[in-house]
Amino acid sequence: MSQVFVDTVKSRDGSTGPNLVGITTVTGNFNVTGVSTISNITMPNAGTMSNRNLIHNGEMQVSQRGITTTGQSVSSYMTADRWAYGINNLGTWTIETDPDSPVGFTSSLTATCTTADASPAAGGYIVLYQSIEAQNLQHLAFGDAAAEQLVLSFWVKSNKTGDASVEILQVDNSNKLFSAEYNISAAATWEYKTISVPADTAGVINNDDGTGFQVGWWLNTGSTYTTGSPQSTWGTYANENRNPSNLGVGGVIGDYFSITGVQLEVGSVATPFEHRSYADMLAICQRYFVALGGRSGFTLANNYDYIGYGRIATATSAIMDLHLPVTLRTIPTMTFVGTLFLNSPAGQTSWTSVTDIYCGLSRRVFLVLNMGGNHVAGQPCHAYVGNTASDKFFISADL
Amino acid sequence: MSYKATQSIQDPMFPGGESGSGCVIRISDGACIPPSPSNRDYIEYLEWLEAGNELLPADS
Repeated sequence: MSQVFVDTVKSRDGSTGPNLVGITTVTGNFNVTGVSTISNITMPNAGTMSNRNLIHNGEMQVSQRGITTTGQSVSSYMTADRWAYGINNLGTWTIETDPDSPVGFTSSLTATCTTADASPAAGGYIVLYQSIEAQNLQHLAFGDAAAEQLVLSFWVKSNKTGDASVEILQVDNSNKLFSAEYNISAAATWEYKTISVPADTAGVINNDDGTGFQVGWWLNTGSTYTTGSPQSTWGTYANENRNPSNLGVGGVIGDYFSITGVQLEVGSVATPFEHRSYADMLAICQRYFVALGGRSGFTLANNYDYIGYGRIATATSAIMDLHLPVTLRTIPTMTFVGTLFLNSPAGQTSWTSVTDIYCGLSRRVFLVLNMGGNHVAGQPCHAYVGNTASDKFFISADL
Repeated sequence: MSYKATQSIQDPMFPGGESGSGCVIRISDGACIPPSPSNRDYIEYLEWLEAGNELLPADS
């Protein structure tokens, strides 16, 4: 290999920069000034160097609700935190956080069809989506001349091949729509996709805790959503432009759609996925959802998930003080499955219901619950979740 | 989908000596839903009311 040692490289007349072509490696203390364009690099060319992914839990590492749910035929949050499926009149599904994933990832989110629908009704659909909190999108400057463009990247795998649709809705602007087409070229193979998302100089996103973007991947729909074309610039909501390239997952039992490594970031270049620690991502997700309990395999009595301490109000009701790990997005809905316990000096009984919630958007919540037994008003008590996998207490403030 | 009102309890810590922040119970899963305009479950409840449905009374 030949080497050239120089101090300075200049163009022949000195008035314009030289063209450097075909360089694959630069080493040593190399100072570059006056660069006008750099292309084909995988570093951010806009926005921040860190915390640049607007998608939460893009690598599906946090699944507080559990890792598998079966028989799903209606819309709900399922398994992986922050990710929801919209399902309407289109088959039945198993949703799972799946260890099958590209190199460098440990999980994907997979929907597998268990009851097929070969001819979906016009309004039938199944779509995977994530809602992004509006105040997290203010740096995009949408609605201003300086609005930023974005790029969406993700890994996808399906037994189905062909064109598919992805979309973003601006919920604060009457669901102003951007939609795009991507192609799955090989069955049962992880493929990396990037989608350029234009800036929108006319769509102000409210600076609040509501939904700013809803980012969705269509698995299958009826004709209501398929008769248009991709809406590559932000425009008025149109059903027919949401899924013009219908992948058709769910026409046959066993059809599946898997996704992971989802990243939405400012700029025109999709950068490598920004991996976050589990602790970081769990804390981020807990702003929207907290699950206590669901721990199986424990044999020690001190491994129950404690909920909090409180005071007996009546023989069958108590007022509890609950400490949350982070401040929630909004006052949460509370529900539980399985067995939850309340202990007071009068004994141990099971919860029957939560009847009241007081929360000033802090990390402390007052709740009123009903339980069985014959407790004594004024006595102290504490509450905890049973120690089987089916005993869970859910606190939900999701979008 | 249907909803019912919540029971209140008598306790001196609450204004007027009685609990009642306006939560509703979603009967299908027993979820306790607070009256927050940015809670997705409460928004869904309001849409249910808007459709002409009526809140069931609390358990006695």
